[in-house]
Amino acid sequence: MNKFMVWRALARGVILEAIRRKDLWVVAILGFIIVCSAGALGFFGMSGLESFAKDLATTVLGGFSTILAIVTTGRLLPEETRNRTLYPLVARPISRFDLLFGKLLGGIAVSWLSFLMLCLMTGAALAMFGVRFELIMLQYVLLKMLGLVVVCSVTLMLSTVMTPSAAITMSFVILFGSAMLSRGLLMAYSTASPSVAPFFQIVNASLPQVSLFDIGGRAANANWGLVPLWVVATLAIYMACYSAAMLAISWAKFRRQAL
Amino acid sequence: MLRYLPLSVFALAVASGFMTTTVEREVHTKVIDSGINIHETHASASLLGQFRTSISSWLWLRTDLYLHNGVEMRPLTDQEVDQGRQAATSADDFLREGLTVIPGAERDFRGVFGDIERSTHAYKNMEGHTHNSPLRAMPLYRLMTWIEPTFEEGWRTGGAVLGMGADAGRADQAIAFLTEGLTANPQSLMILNQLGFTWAVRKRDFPRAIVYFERARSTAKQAKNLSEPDKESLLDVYRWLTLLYRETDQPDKQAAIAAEGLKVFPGDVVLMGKAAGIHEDHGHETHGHQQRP
Repeated sequence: MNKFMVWRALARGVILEAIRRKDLWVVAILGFIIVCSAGALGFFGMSGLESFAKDLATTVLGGFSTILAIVTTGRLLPEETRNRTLYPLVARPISRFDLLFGKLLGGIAVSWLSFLMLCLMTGAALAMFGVRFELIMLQYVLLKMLGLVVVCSVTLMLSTVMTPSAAITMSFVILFGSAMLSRGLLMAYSTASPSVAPFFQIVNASLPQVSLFDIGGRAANANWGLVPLWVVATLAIYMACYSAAMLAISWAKFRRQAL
Repeated sequence: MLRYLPLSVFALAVASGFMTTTVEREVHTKVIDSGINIHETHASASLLGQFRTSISSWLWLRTDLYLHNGVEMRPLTDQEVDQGRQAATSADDFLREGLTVIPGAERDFRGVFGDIERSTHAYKNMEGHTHNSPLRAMPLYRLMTWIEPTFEEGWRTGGAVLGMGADAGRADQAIAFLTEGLTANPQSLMILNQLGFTWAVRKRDFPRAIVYFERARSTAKQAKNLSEPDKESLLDVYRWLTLLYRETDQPDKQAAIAAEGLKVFPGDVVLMGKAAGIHEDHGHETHGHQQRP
């Protein structure tokens, strides 16, 4: 069995498990809430409120998809250990890295699936109010999907070094708090001496910059152009590098872990 | 008998649900204006973004964001003020409104990360910036006051936005909106002040305006403690009343109100001007040179 088939089989297992556990029902319920909320919004009149509708849509999409990605990925490995289904897996001729990578791919696939389902429902709600489709919305979806890869990789790394509850909690703190910390550093730097810049740079660079993948602010408001291609390419490279680093840390911990 | 137990329990639940309306006012407390304004006055509040407990407050902050087409602004920190940094000025009213939350390249230590953020977020140099029409946010004012009827600032600003422009029909809409707000907040100086302003300036109906300003004045007299926004409204009320009594040719009332206003707000230059104007007018009257606007 080549590596690609191993990873695909493991990822497929994660998707099937998410369907079996009815995780995607949560997405459907959330989508239903979005549509109902949009209906309530329509009651107050949508004329001139397109920006708010799009803003609300991107905020809800960003929040829900990140939560789903964290919850899905955070329990992948701990549940395998708890249910003792990890043993037959490691008994097969696959390396622990393959196991981790396959699980990560599965987590990413479930997160993307959930996100795209939410996008469809939100898109339908926006279309109901005659909000015009713009190309930047497609770019928003693409960049958000890249951002979800970072979210999944950080959560998987934390789940290898902490208990499941701690890993999920820390993921929420890090992934939702990194933008705030980054902003705090910027404000502090505005009055700090230039000599401390390297310290600020190191702290900032070590944080997962997931907020950079969220172009909801541009997509929601009028007259903002598409994000330049070099930015999309840089973010894709950043996603690959940061996720690889997280996977490497996870593997370094998991390969020595006694089962 | 047990057959009717679930029905009885359900009836009890419904009855207790009706009872909750009696405690709603106590539980659902008034939105504190000083809390709402924290983003405009405290730079550190920008750190928390728009994470607030009240949906109305969140909507309130969003209206400001849409005014700037999505560009997030923050006030200067104390250190920045000490260093002599200047906030960006708006082209509409030349007011200094603060700095962008995402800094310009010259003040950003992040290098390429900063460049990416400026490309992926709503960012532009805000020096001499213009604003979107506040009317675009009108449904938000309706929504926030529907969710939180005690949110006086929402009623006041929504009324002001609706009343903008020369269209007389819009003034009627503003009055209807503010009257609805007054029904929910009968003691609100802010809403009474805005209603008086709308009747005076938009409808040019001075006697009706005086009714609302006088109601605000008597409400303030009965109040034990006035918040800062209420004090600001009361000052406006005294200023408007002196002006309107002058416009309606009631110099005695104008003098009394100006004197009363100066007791509450000693040293207010506008009220002092109005008071001085009365003496001046009387002087002119004595010499037979009545000059009234």
